[in-house]
Amino acid sequence: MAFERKSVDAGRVALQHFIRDFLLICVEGGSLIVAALTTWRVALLNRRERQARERAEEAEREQHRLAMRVVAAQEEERKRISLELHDAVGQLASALGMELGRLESYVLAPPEQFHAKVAEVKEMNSEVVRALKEIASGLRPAMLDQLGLGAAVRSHAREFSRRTGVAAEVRLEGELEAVPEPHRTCIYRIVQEALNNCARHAGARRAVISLSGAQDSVSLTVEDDGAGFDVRKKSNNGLGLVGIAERVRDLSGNLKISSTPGKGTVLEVLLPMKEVPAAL
Amino acid sequence: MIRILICDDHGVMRKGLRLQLEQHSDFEVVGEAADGRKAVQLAGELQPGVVLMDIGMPNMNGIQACNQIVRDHPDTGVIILSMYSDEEYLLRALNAGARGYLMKECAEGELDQAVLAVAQGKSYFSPAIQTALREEYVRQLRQRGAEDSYELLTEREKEVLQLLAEGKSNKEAAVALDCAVNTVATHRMRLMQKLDLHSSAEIVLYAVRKRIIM
Repeated sequence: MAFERKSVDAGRVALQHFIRDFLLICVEGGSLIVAALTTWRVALLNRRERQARERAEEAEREQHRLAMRVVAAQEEERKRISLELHDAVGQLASALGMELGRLESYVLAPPEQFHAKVAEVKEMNSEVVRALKEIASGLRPAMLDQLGLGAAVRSHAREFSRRTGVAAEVRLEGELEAVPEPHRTCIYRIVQEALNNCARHAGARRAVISLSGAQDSVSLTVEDDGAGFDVRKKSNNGLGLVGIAERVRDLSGNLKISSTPGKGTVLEVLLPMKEVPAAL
Repeated sequence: MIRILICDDHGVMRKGLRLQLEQHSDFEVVGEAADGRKAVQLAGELQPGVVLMDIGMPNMNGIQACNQIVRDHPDTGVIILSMYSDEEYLLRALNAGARGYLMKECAEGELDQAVLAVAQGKSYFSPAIQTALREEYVRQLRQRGAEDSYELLTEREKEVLQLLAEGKSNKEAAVALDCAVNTVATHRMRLMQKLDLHSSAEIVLYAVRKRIIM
């Protein structure tokens, strides 16, 4: 009996040992696996973090490049305006001054000669005024503030048509006189940019501008029958389109550009507005 | 004597206009305003026959001031003084009830003529803006490949067009043509359809473009 019990005890002990060892192995092995997994996971996270960092850095570099292009474009624009002011207005005004000086010597001339000279000087003054008006309205049309968005867009489309030969049709709907700043300027600049693209890149023959004002939003669609482009290609998104996107984003608006090579381009913008007072 | 109110936010411009107007023995400058609100107030107090009105002014622009003055004093004739020959400005001026549109650069030569015309209840538009409008009109017709639809009008419709463009009401036109008011109204509707015009201001604009009125 005693022997039997002993052998049973021995068996139990062996089993206990086995279980203990097994558990130990399991725990150690498991730890190893967990450790391996953890290491792998950490490595993965590190890689992801590095990638994210790299992406962020790339985005930052891209933003910097864009900012530099904006700065360069701004400087270019200033140079152009300065040149125009100097060449067109400055030269004309100097010439006008000289003519006025010469007018003095006509004080004793026969009346017809004197009057002819005065007419000449007046004509020169008109030239100065014309040049100034052209530059000023190129910078920002007074009409945008004096007559509102609808009139300014219509007038710009006419002027664009005259200059480029591209037929530009304007369809206005709803209340546009009450569209406030900065929405007014935003829409006007987008129309300018879109029409420029029509003529410069797309080679369009016809563009349709639809503008619609509601109580709480203003929407714009510019459609052309030009060459179109691949919207997904980043290189196609020039500074102009980036500028449009930025203006729209700044006003929490929506911008959609649909284009297929050979099938024209449609640009759609929706700008939400807070309720505006009734009159301009 | 024609009593005149000058409204412009630039002192130099007001002075120049005043000096020129005072050379005419029939003109009297009764007041000056440097912004739109003052213009409306003085127009009420002084009851001038003619108001010379700049567009770009602080405290209510010239178009808005014109609108109020014409509404409150229909007998006062407002002449808009403008830097711009863009038809958007003329259209808005007409909508506001202006009877004259004078380009500032032409003011010297045309001022007397414009004041005299408007004081007599007629209208005056600078030839410079008429030319600009006419050229733009022809360009648009050419671009659209469209014909000038003026020739589609009957002789009677042309007469009605001219009278309406001169600022006459349907009733006054009926008296001038010796026919019923309803007949004038029908002619008016037809000619607006044919010419694709949608308001009285557009009728005047069209007539200016076509040099039907001066």
